[in-house]
Amino acid sequence: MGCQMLYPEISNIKKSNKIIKSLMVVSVLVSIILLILNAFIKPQLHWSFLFIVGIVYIWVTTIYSIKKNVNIASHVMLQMLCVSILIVLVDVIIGYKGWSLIIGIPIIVIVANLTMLILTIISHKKYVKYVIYQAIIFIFTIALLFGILIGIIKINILYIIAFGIGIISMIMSFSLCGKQIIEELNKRLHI
Amino acid sequence: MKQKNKNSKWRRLDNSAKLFPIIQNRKFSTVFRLSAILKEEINEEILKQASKVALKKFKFFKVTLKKGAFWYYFEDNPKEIIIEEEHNYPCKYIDKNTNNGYLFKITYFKNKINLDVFHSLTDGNSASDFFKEIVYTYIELNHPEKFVDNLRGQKKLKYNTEDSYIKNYNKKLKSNANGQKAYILKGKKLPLDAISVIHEIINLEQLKNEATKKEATLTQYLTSVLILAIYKANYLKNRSKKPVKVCIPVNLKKYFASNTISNFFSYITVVADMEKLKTFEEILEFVKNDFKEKLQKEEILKTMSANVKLGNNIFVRVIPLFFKRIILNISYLEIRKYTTTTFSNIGRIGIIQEYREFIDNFVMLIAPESVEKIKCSACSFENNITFTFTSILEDIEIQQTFYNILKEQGIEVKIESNGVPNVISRDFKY
Repeated sequence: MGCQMLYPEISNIKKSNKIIKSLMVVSVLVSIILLILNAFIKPQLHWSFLFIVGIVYIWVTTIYSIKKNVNIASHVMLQMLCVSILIVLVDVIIGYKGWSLIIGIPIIVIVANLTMLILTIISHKKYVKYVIYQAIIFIFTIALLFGILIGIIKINILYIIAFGIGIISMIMSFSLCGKQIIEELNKRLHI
Repeated sequence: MKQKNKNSKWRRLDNSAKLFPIIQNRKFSTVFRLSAILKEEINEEILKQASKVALKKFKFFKVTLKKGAFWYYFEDNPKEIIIEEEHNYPCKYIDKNTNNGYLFKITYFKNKINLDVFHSLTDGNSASDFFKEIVYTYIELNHPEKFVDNLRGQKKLKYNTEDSYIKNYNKKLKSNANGQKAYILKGKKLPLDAISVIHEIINLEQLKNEATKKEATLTQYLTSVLILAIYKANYLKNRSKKPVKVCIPVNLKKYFASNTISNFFSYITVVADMEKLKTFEEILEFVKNDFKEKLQKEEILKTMSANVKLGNNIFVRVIPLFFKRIILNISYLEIRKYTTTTFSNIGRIGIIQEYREFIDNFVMLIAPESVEKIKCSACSFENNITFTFTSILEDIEIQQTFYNILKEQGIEVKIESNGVPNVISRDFKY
């Protein structure tokens, strides 16, 4: 019998997975310890939740970043969504004052839309790859407008700037590569 | 549904291919492998050149998989293919993030070239055409002095990417699916996601003689040996009343005119009630009749049409991909319980005479998974047919029994393995 003639001997290929799994277990343990400590130290303030939200945010970003060939626009979109959720949770945990909705989210949306606008200008040939993420960022921006219309969010100058930049960014994209955008949407939305 | 995007840089997945990316994961790779064992050590640089040349001819494989809102789709892949030395178990999940987006992986080890293919891309028959092209080109580049004259001609390949399922299915036919759950192989699993590979290299002439004596085809004969091996080595120990169900993929190009390079296969399921079948002769007689009945064009069309109708149903189509993944993964956990094992025979690998002196053998492998813990495949080259077991079980009794049955019938069999589990060399009695 020809054992090992046709195939290599396999070394421990699961090492890197094990490191990630171990770190995840450590994160869960740290979170539990923080929750227990929080029950004894200043229990009226949920400070441990701030750490746990931070740990979750770090993991989402790390796992996403580990993937190679990830589209830069998808990073912008992911960070916009994650940081928005993060700051709302932080605001709620430390006794809701509303700063996350008044200042935080519009600034994040402005930064995301500005980033997409810059990406459109400097690399419009590649832009067609970014368009689906730009569309999601735009939908998120419009969803805020809906929040204003139904009275959950109070309008302020930052929101007006955010909508303005969002709309300019979309118009810019369509004028530079409208045909490709339609093709991209056709591709992504085929049933 | 018509193929609308013939010349554009993306294309829809065919009806079978749609399912694979939704249900695949690291433990359920839906990958198969073709390997060529040459008579000389592989040169990585030449293999890279050969693969590039072959890929230019088979440009339909130069794609990557993208996620849409409702379905996955293929998009042209401008990146270079990666060729590397084999360092993992065969048929493992192809991570496109570490493979420049490609849905196939070319590796080598000593004298062997491997092509691992994610089933969404194509089926075994079209993959073997692509693989032969790589092997031919490799031999030509490695021995230019022997291939001064163009032996293979410059004929343009007559392939397309049409969805032949859509073209040939019949909406009105009712499903012929057998509703009974199958006997599931029992045993302790190998640690660390290892895969055991055992190639049983069978003397083709002797096997043909035995099969002809019993008026059976090679596939019928080997299926019967496999059922008996499962019965003796696993079924009897576990006292089940469920039937042993062997899924046999069928190449639909033999039944319908098609030049597609996409998937175009269906399957039949041999349902062997082991309460009634005890001896090899009884099993073979049953398998012959079952094949005869199920390999009728009408029956094959029924199976194919049932699958197409489901994938083509408007209510299924409009479910967002995220929810499709959840629904299909849950349903597939159940569907998989209807098969004991799969046996795929891609038949003879035909190689032009002048190239044969450089090739020792071809083998095919299919990825096993947590329910179908052993999968089987076969292909023949020269005077050998190589029957391969890929398994995630520690126990190798089925493979051993299969070998013993053939030996008892006077057929020569040689064994090759990947040395997993490492007791093979000690325990395999031959």
